[in-house]
Formats: sequence, structure tokens, C-alpha cells
Amino acid sequence: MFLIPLGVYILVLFGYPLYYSVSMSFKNLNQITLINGNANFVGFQNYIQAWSSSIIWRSFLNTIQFTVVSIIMQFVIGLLVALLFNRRFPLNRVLRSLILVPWLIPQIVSGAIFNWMFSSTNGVVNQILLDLHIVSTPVNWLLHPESALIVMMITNIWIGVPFNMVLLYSGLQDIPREIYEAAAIDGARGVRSFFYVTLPNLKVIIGIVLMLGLIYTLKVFDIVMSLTQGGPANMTQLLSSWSYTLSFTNLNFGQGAAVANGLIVISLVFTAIYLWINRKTAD
Amino acid sequence: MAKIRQILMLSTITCVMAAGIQQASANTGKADASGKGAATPGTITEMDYFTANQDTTITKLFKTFEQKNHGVKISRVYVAGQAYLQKVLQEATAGSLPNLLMLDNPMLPDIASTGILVPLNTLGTLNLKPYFKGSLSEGKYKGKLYALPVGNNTIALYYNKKLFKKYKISSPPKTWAQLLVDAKKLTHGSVYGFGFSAGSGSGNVSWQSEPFLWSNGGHLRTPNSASDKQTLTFFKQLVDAHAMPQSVVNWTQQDVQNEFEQGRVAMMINGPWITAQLNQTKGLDYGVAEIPVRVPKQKIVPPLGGEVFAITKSTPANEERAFKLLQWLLNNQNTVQQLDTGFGYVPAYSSAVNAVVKKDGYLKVFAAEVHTARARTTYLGAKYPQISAIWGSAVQSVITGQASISAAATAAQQQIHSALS
Repeated sequence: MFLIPLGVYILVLFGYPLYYSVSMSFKNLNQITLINGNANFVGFQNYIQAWSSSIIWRSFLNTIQFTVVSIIMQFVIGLLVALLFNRRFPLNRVLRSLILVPWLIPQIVSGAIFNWMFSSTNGVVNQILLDLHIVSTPVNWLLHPESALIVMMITNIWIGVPFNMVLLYSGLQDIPREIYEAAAIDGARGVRSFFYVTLPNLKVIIGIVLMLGLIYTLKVFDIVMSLTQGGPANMTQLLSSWSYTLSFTNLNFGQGAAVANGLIVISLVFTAIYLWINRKTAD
Repeated sequence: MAKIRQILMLSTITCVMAAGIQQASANTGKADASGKGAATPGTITEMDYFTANQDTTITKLFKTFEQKNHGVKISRVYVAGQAYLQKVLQEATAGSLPNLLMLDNPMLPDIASTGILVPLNTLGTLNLKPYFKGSLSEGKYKGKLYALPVGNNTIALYYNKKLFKKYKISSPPKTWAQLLVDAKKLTHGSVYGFGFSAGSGSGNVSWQSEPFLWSNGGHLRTPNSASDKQTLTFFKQLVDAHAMPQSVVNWTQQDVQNEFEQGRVAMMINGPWITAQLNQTKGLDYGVAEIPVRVPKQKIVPPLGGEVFAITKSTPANEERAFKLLQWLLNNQNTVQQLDTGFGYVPAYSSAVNAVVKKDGYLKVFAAEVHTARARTTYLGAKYPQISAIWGSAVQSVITGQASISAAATAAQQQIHSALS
């Protein structure tokens, strides 16, 4: 039953633009044909050119790495924080509201803040590492693709934790206390009660959290733009930002759409897998 | 993302209909060709991306025009530079462009080719003699004049005079070898000798590396050529000597300016529009020189910057009013002087040059460079954005050491080959 709103959500937010996006990707749309309306049908040319470049595969691998690490870390940290707040302690409510802040700040602002924190010349992260004698010279975080990608993931995890926490917390609140009491009588306490009571009861919520997390993370774009703009040399592009660069820097709207459509296909594949797994477990 | 595309696509459909309507109205009547007298009452819509001192200058001049022409109101829309091109494309597809449209000069041929601009000779007579040939060519498409230049700019070498004195360098470098030697001398602790904007995106890495590439006879489209590789080698030498930070690949032109203002970079590449801000920076004593060339006999060929104003197709009355404003603003020595002085540009209107350069001495260097400057779309036309981005990536991978010079050049050459085919 709970899949219906999710299905509508995906249909409205993915299905409708998908139609336009698909029609764009089969035309030779650039800055000129966009205005004069003389874009011709070019078949699969945009797809062939866009998906045969070396940058696209780099972006593809970056996207997978970025998405997998982000989702796992967001979920684990979010769950730990939710478990913490599920206990009664003073200031619980205040702290719970405060921890939402990262999720409320626009991503572009978060990106700018992290850009400043990880700056190689006067960033606070380098300052701390230098003061603690962990490194001897400032680290050029955003210069090397590997470390820049790590900074991008840290930023995204920081943003995503509250979202995971809120949903998982509400799930935890819905688990009746009686179940824990009954389990305790049967000898399940502490870690065992977590694995035998909490996790099975959270299954539905966990599914939603991971699914929404996947959709949000695949769409991440502001973080790339504010931290590295996909550079240096397009080594930190995600599929989303590379599609943007193709469209609005290179003004090749057709190829930009061809990349974006690939991203949508990936989303749809994961949605299908999710639906399939869910049906199996429901049976 | 999807939303932006959706808007663009929706407007594409509107555009097809709007184009039909525009075609019809264009045939119904020609505007009055007299070009003399006051503009008829009504509103002129205008759009540009001018900020800071450029914003104040143009606002002031528009007010003057309104006072001189009773009943005329100029409705100016400002759009931030980074979003400007998107906005123009969006408004163009929706058929809702302003009457007077500012464009960065490389965009003019593309926009004119779509047929949404009015050839200026159909609206009245202009005095074209005073314009420099190269500057006027920025407004031309297939032999017809569609726009007038606001003025020209390009980029040059800024240097910190205090640091030059401290390390006993008597004059700014004239060749790459001297630049390298001087940059090494100036590098101490957290201060680097040289920096330029090698960040991604238009207006950064390709625009700022073009003077080095072009003066050496190289081209954006031939990264594998000897001249192009020499340019890449020079950037690598600067990095290897630790005279230029590798983080330049994350710097925009604004970042380079900040580093220079704070004394963390002793020499930089930048344009004349920042002199007003640099003059306000306390304790900064700077000079401007032509960008060094590889060997002394080479001539500096920097990219030509600057905006143009064009008139978009609408009703004859709107077009005529916009033409009156264009004529007054850019085809008139007095206003051109005021405009370019406020803008920090080298006038494209020859008789205005001396008066403007006299007021801002720094402009002298830029004025000299403009004579040999090259328009960015000269060889690549509509492919310029794509090809320059590929060249920019090659420069970035060499600076960060991700690829050797020959590997970066070969990879870029392959990408350019498939992009041009």
C-alpha cells in the first residue's frame, strides 16, 4: 500500500520531464537550433557521442562511489543518532531540532562553507591538522580527484544525516514498548534486542529511507558546483553535473539530455530492483 | 536539472509559434529611417549583467537619456553574469527578449544566425567611420551589422610593485623565461610568484591561457601541435618550480584578484575592470604590463573581450525607440567617453580613446594589447564553448600532474577531433 504514493511521486517527478528529456536527446539541440527551432532528428548520435567519451565513464564511476558511500554513511550515522534520541534524556527535543539544521540549509550554501573549510591556503581543516601535527604541509583537498571526491562525500553525508535520522526516529517511536518488554523476558537485551526487535520492525522505514536517499543522492549537483565545478579537468564530475556542463557550458543540449536520461534509467533500474525485493519479502 | 530542461523545452515550443508571429510583423512595416530627433514616448526594455562601477555608470546614462527624451522609460533588467546566457536562451525561445539586448561578443554570431536580431542599417543611419575595424566586426554576422560594441577589454599582467622592489626586480618580465625567473624570485613562504585563473567554466582557464597560447602561434583546436605543447610545458615549469600554486585550477578570476590583493600572489593575469577595486585596496601598489611572450620577437595576441548591444525583433515602434537609445549611447563620442571611463574599457570608438585612456593610466597597456587582440570565435564559431573547454581540461590536467604533457595533448586532440567531426 505504501508504494502507491511513492509510485505517484516517481511518476510525477520523473515521468513527466522524462518525455521532454527524451525528445531533446534525439535532436541536435545547441544554442542556435534551440532559438530558431530548427533542431533536426539525429537518431542515437547524441547517445553514442555522449556515452563514448572518457569523461562520462569517470563521471559514472564517481557517481557510483559517491552514491554508495554517501548512502551507507548517512544511514549508519542517521540510525545511531536516531537510537540516541530514542532514549529519554534532558534537552532531547531541543537537540533533535538543532540537528535538523544541515538539512534546512540550501546545498549551495553548505557547499560554499565546506569549500572554505577545506581550502588549501587558509582552511580550518588544514589548520587543525597542522596544529595537531597530523600533517606537515597543508593538504590540497580540492586539487586531487580522490581527496576532492572525499570532501564532496563528507559534505553530502553531513547534509543527509538529519533526513535519515528524522525518518528512522519516527520509525523507532512506532515500535510498541511491549515488544521490547516481551523480548526482554525471552532474554533479548541490548545488542540482541536491536537485531531481533528493532531492525525487523524498522524494515519498511529503512526501505523508504534508502530509496529516497538514492534518489536524492543521484540528483546531487549543487555540492559539485560549489566545491569543484567538476574540475580539475572534469575528474570530479558526477553524471548530474556533467550533464549540466554539457548543456550550459558546452551548449550541447542534446548530449546533456542524453546523459541526464542515462541517469534516469539508473534511477528506474534501482526502483525496479527495490520493488522486486519488496514484493518478494511481502509474499 | 530536469526542471530547467523542462522550462527550456516548453519555451522551445512557444518559440516556434512566436517565430511565426515575428516573421509576420517583420514584413508589415519598416521603422522610420531618419534617426534624428527625440524618441517617441514609450518603454524600452533592456537586459545586461553589469555590476559595481559598470552598473552605476549605465544607470546614470540611462537616466540622462530619459531626461532628454520626454515620456521614454528604460526598464533595465539585471541578470547575474553566470546565469546570463541561460536567461538569454530562455527568453529567446519564449520570444520575450528585451528590445535592447546586451551580449558578450562571442555570442553575437550565434544569436544573429537565429534571425531574432534586426540588422541595424534597416533602422537608420549610423556613423561607422570612427570604430576600429576589429571591434566593429564583433557586431557583424554574414556581412550585416547587428550590434555596436560597448568597448573592448582584454587581460594583462598585474604585478605587485612592493614585492618587485623587495626582491630587486627592476621591470616586469617580457618573456616566459623572465617570467619564470621572476616568479621564482618572488616565491617565499606562503607567497607565490605567479597565479592565473585556471578554474573550470567559461571566463577562466581557456580565456586566461589564450594569450600565452595564441601569442606563441598555437590554437585551441590543435593541442597536439608544437606551439600548444610549448604553452603547456610553460605552465608545467611554473608548477614544478613551485612558483605557481597547483590550486590555481580551482581559482576563478575573482579568486586570483583576491589572492593578489592580499599579497599572496605577486603577479597575476586579469582585466581592466578590476582597477577601481584594486585602487581602493589599502597598501597595494601595483603595475600593469603586457603579458610576456615566449621569444622577444613574438607579438602578444590576447583574447578580445567586451560586450555589444543589439536590437531584437519586435514592433517597429519598439525597434525604433531602442535604436535611438543605441545611437545615443554608443554612436556618440561624448557618451562613449563617459561609458568607457566608468566601465574601465578601451573605447571601440577611436576618437574617444585618448580622453578615456588619459583618465585611467592603467588602460594604456590594455589599449595597446587590444590592437593585436583576437575575437574568440574567429576560428571556431559556434564550437568555441566546447573546444575551449577541452583545451581548458588539458591545461588543468598538466597543472595538477594528472597527465603528462603529451598524454594530455593527445587525449584533448582526440576529443576535439570527434567534437569537430
